[in-house]
Amino acid sequence: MPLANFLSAVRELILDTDTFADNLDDRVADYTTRFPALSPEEIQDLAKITPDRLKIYTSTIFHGEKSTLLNHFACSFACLAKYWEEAYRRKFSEVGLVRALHRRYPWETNQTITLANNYVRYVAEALTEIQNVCPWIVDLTNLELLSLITKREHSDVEARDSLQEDELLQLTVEEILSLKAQIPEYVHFEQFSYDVIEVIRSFHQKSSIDTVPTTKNPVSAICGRNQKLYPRWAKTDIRLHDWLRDRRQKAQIDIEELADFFLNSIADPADSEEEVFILFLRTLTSFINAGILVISRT
Amino acid sequence: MGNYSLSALGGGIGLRHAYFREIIEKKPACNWFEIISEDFMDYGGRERESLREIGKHYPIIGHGVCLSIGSTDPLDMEFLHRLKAFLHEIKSPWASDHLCFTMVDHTNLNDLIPLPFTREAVTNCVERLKIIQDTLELPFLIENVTRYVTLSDREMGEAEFLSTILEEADCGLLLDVTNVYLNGQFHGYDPLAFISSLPLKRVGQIHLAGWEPASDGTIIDSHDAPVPDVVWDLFRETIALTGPTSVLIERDKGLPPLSDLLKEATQADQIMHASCKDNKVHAAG
Repeated sequence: MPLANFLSAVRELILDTDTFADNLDDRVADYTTRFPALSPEEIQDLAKITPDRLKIYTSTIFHGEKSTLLNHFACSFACLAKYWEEAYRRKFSEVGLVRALHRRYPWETNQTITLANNYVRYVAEALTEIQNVCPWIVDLTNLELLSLITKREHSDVEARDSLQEDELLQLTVEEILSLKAQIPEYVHFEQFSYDVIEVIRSFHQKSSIDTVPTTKNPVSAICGRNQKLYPRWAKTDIRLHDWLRDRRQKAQIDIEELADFFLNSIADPADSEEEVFILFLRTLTSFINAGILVISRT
Repeated sequence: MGNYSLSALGGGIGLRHAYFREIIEKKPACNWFEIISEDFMDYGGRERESLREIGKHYPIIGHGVCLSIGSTDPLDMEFLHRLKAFLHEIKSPWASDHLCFTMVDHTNLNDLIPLPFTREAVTNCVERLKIIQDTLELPFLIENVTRYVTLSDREMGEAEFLSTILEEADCGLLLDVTNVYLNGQFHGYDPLAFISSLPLKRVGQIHLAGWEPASDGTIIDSHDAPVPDVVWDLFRETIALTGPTSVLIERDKGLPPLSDLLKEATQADQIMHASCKDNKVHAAG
């Protein structure tokens, strides 16, 4: 189909062409070589377009992709900006990064999540030098990706459907242990090699990269979304993380069963029963507040 | 009832995340909101819930940016069915997207790239628009895009290209008055003459927007400024030709207070009503 060849040539000129010949005849010669499937008339049509007009599209496309990525990966972009020069001995360009990303992993769907996945993959597979300077960057992009997914996931239950912290604290121990909980569909479980939860918390408070991990420090974390439907991460003991992850498909979790596991596997045997229960309640309320557990009121 | 058998909703604004809370809490007077369907359709969470809440109080119209009507890649039928389910869920009385291509070679260009004005492109668009309309089962409008380039006008000009597709595909027109004005500036034609040459009975909606020139002076259809006087003037002349319709104030960047956009929507309403009143007086005279 000739139209397909023509549109394909337009795509190549807009997305993948850095330099254009200045005059029409040179562009005709260049395009004739590059686009052999086009007719002479079609080559003339394309060559008549002055490169500065085509470059408007190149600019709006890559600035648009940069804005989309910055919305969801603000913290890792700030890290790239901070450490880029040290890693690559040249200035960081957000748009330059997006162009390079597009070259390596073209955006093949009309969905933002594909672009987001491409970015995370690009950082992990192509930006190896910066990983020497900023080894937590891959964990950080994964965290931001999971936050995005969690934020947008469909779910039949939400944090606000749960018994809330103030209601929980008015119950007796027996009443608390008789409760049932559910893990909503949006919840994600992840283990990071570095404590990037603290990097992102600090970034949200200060809008700059101040707190960075100095050593590997594996962290197990769970991402839910709070009553306002914003993603929230809770760091947790690996054993509790895995126990909950293994039960995520269950329709209901008995709080008593969770408390038993907490008491027998996580609590410090030296602690009193009261201290253990207070610690358990603190963990439980952090899960409720982050929308990781939704506790039925009945 | 306005043109193309669609309700003439008057002035409305584009629904953007930054305005959700104020709209939900204060429920300001606004005839309707337009959303970018792809910003909501596949998602749950805060966006979808806010939309559901706002939809209880205002008409919501779905406007798309991803159908890639002029592409030669196969139509994404799975996407189209998801879009249909979404549009029916939000009770959108009609739907729209741009006459352009956004995907080719299975690569997303993330922009509205104009088409060559050729018979082959007409045929391709018409075939795809028939499938789109049959699938969505809603009145469907195509929007004229801003174009910084002319890919080919050997066979016909833009007005003929657009008019032929509208007639052959039997669909409606979302007339972006700002885009016509800017294209007139870029390509040296009279915007009102261009508009007058279109099948205006097919206009089901109008878009108005403003722009700030880039630092190097380049004019981009950036939707980041109030509608300028030159576009209001062109709108005044256009609405006199089309009759009452639904008029959207588009703003995507540099979002002002909601009240500023609502004022612009009211201004569109006032111009439309004044124009209709004048037309009645002329008709009676």
